Amino acid sequence: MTALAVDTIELTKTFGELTAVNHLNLQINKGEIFGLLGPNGAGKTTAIRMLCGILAPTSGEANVLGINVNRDPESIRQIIGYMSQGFILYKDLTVHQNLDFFAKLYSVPKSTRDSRIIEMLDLVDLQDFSKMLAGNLSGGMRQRLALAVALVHEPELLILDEPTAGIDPPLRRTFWKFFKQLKNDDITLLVTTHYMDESENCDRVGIISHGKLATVGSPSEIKRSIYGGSVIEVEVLGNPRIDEAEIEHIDVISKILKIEDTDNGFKKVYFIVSDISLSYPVINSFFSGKGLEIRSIREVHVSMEDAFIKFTEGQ
Amino acid sequence: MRFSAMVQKEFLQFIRDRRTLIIAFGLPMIFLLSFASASVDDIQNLPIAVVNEDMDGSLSRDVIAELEKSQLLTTSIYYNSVHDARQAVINGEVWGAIIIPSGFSEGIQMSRIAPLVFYLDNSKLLMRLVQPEFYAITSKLSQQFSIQFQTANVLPGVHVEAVAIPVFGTLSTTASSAPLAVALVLQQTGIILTAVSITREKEQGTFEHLVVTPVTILEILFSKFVTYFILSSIIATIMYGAMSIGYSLDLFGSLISVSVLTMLYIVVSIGMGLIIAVTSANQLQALQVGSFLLLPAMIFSGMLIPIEGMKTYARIIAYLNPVYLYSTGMTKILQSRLSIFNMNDIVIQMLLIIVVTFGLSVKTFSKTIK
Ligand SMILES: Nc1ncnc2c1ncn2[C@@H]1O[C@H](COP(=O)(O)OP(=O)(O)O)[C@@H](O)[C@H]1O
Ligand SMILES: [Mg+2]
Repeated sequence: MTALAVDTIELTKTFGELTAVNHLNLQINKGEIFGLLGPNGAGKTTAIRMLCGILAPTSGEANVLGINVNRDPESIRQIIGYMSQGFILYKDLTVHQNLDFFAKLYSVPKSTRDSRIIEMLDLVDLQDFSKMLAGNLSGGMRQRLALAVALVHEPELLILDEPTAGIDPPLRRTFWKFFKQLKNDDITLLVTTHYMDESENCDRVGIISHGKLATVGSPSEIKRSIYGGSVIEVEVLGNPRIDEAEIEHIDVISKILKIEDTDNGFKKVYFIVSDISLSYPVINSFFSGKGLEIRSIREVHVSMEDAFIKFTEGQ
Repeated sequence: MRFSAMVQKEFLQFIRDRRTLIIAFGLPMIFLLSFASASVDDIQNLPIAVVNEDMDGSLSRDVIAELEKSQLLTTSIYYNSVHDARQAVINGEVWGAIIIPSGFSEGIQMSRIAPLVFYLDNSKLLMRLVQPEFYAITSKLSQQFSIQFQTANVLPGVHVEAVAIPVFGTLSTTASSAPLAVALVLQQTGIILTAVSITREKEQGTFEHLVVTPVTILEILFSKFVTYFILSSIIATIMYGAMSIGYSLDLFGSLISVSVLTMLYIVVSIGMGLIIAVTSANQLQALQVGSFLLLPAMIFSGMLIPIEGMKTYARIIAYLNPVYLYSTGMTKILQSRLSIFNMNDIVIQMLLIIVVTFGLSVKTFSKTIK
């Protein structure tokens, strides 16, 4: 048994002239929440549809839970759960009928079917709506139903294509609570999103741009990788003339990013450091050695948005 | 300014949508083609059987000579017995049989009146042309003989009596209009129900969810087929039930034939629905194509315009038209009391359409997903 839930090798899909997915090498570990982050048209949905075995790749291969999807798409059906982009359930069936229908398609045995459906309704908090037509549900409830349907056959890998698109922030938070709960039940999750803040909830994130993986790593790794370290902002009084040579021998400081004037005559110096806690005393003594008074010192929060922009622009 | 911008935009949208274009201009084209092809003036030389029981009489040759002058009919086949000739009409080998009864010449000469008997199959649409031709021939003969035997003015004119005998008895209007009505209703429901149910899944994205489940394409298509086969069968039962109760359409003599042909036809209609479903992007297109088919289905049904008078290409369309196949088959069953098991050509043609439509749609369907 492989430890990888998803393993693609040079996976490529072209539509005529357009290369939607471009030699993608993506590895997702079992049991993690993996976020695939990318702007619209980056190729997220196309990549996912190839992983689900509903779109044939132009070249390359996709392995899901140790099964080669191209060669054996039927074998992965039972072990993956898929929630596609947009609402895709039967509007003219009730909540319960939708769950029951898909449970039957996955051959969930009669003995456990009803209890499984109740369990799912509880999970997504739709117990009171089981007799309502899916078409009459609010947007957020529909997404919850879609999640329940994707889970009804107890898949090992859950693939969610923009599950939180178009729903309000409180519900988005609830969704991520669900996802963490599922992770605790040993389910691997592949979630695509174009909301940067959400990706902070992932164990690992891959940023995809123009069908290629621009970077992969934990959210903090990715953020650090933008500047090659953490960013510290120091506000000082006076004119800090700093030579590159002066800081070259200080281990914890990698470099000076920039120096800015503030409105009230202070200067802001931005350092890139390899370790935040070690850097504070070093920076303090650096400036006091120069006879300069430090007004404030703080870490600059680098957001996923900064990372996103850096990794997706100019490609 | 605003107005012209709106008009311009409408035209642009209209031209961009290729399928709308095809429907907008395809429909009038089919109209023109079918009417151009359906001119009945060109119909000539329909074979007629002749039985001359008045061999000894001097006038039977005049009758045959008059028949031979006809553009519409040709008297190529001669039979010795009325029974054989009548059978040829029943079998559809000839368009009618003209019997010159024994004693015809004598009757004209002695009593100035004698019958000519015409056996015909009036379930055929073209009888609307053939029957008047027969009456025209008898009245010409009456005139000719009147002049020939007008020795004195006091004598009455000669009358050649035209006796038309339908081989399958007199027709009820229900029996003659039912097949086309049922054919059109079943085709429309079969096509539209099937096509819409599939395109709805494609349009609403539920299809994408189905294909990631272990359900196979064949299971998806077969479940649709079974559902709409049952629904169409109920519709057919209601229609024929109503006609048999309300309009005393006699079905019971041929219940098996009616059922087998109708079920076959329902399968054909669903097959056409499948083809439309796999080639349409959404429900609207499927509906457009479905209703688009209605007109040619009627024109080439053989029930309104005789197929025999159409140009070759139009006849080929008719033979490919399930409505034609069903209507002619059902007419034969209801009026001529023929059995479905004696209509191999119709059955084989329907089976072919079924194989092609189902095969193509399964193949195309699998491709759109993978
Ligand atoms: N069936 C298709 N035919 C042609 N182009 C497609 C098709 N599906 C996706 N594309 C194109 O491929 C690119 C990637 O699309 P997609 O995978 O949907 O991106 P994302 O999900 O990241 O927004 C887009 O430019 C899109 O227009
Ligand atoms: Mg997408």
